[in-house]
Amino acid sequence: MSGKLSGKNAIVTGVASGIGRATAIRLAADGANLFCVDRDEEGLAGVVGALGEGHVGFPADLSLASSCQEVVAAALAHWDNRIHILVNAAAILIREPTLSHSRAAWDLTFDVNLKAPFILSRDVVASMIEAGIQGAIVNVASIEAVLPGRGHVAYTASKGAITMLTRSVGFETAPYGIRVNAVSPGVIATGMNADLREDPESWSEMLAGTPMGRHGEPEEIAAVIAFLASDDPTFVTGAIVTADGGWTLH
Amino acid sequence: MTGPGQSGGRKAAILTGAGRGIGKGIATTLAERGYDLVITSRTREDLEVTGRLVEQSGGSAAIVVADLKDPDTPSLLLETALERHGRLDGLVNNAAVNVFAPFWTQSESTLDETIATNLTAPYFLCQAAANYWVQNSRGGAIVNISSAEDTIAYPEQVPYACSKGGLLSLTKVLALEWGPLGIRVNAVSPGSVDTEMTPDVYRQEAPKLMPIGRLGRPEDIGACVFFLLSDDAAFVTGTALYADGGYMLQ
Repeated sequence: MSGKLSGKNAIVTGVASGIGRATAIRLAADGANLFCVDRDEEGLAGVVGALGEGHVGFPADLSLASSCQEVVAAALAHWDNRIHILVNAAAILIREPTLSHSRAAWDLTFDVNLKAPFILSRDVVASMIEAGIQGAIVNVASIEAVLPGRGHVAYTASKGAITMLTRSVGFETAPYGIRVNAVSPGVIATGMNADLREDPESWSEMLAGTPMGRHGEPEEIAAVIAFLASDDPTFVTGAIVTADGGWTLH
Repeated sequence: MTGPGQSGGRKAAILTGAGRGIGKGIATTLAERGYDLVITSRTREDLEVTGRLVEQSGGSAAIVVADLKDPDTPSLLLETALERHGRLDGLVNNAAVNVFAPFWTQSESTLDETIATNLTAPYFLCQAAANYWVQNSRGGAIVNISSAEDTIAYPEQVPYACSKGGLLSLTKVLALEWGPLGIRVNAVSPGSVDTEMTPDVYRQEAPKLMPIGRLGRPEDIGACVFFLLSDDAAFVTGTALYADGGYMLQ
């Protein structure tokens, strides 16, 4: 298959559902070779099977630092030390009230939403520098980093943290030609909000104030990720690209 | 003026990281302007120096030597405020650590330690203070000391940048959640401030680097903290006050 990402080796996390799944499908369609990661083995196998030949599924629990290191080591072994793209899409959202939010939920949120991207980025960057690859890392932040969601305290803080992970890693890797950017999605229909969408009336009420008047689809975020991962935005690094249907404009 | 711990118009606040640098400046500024304090850090000798400065400035200081990573520290600080000062009006999360190293050599334990001190500890202190205020049917004010680095990148301090990006988003989500409870949550984001930790080269370069022509003084930050704690800032919540001498304009 040929395309904009032809010949590129890409790790994508959180592939079993939502934005991660849409991203894997899009990057594969654009020609990339994929190393797909998720803790949901069955969901992962389903997506990887649908991608066709030449793609790898690697089940891993990214809340464990050792698993994150194994992901990069396995991808490097599979591709002869050449990784061109890393997309950190895996994330969890645990809703607990701010006055009684537990340490366990806080810590798990940061392990998955910040520490995993940190370790994966660190090890991928090290490999890119060693191999002289001018690669791209794309993180998935959230508009909640700037426009917080009620009951989402740990998630919101973790997304603020990944925003600065993007900018500070981008700053340090710029001299090596490695670009680090993030997409900051607004309300996207994924598993994270499946329960909220069961009440179509309040869901559409919530979205009525959005300039575009609708939620986004995972494929619309995957399209932004595919652009940031490609060689088109050669002068773009440390950018936080908001894709929210205009939500944060008012 | 009435004596320390009396209710003659004095207020009480908890201040972390009070032993050195900006924390010492915040302590003296708040004491001069009517606050009795619970001051904490890991080093008793440092706290005793700050305690004397607080007393010279007309305030009373309760010293607590504690590790902010200990889950029991928030309740210890709260209890100390109530025992020693009989009240709690404000919380200032100032303590922070920063470990400098190229990103691709940073360990996950450094990330853990940095997030635990700079982000997790402030959140659970906020939670303890807020629960106290809610249970006593009163409001309160919180100021988190962030950094210009919650927005702009500096080299070789990725974990610190992540923690400050997270702290900025935390400030916003808590402000949103606790606005109806009469609890305001804001941040002060300092640029380069002249402390005992500041390298001489910064002082020499300051006239060139800073639009204002000098480094910040700890008291500059203290004045911003005092304003955000005070009723003058009654309509201000969820914001970050950048006290950076104009550095970020460049």
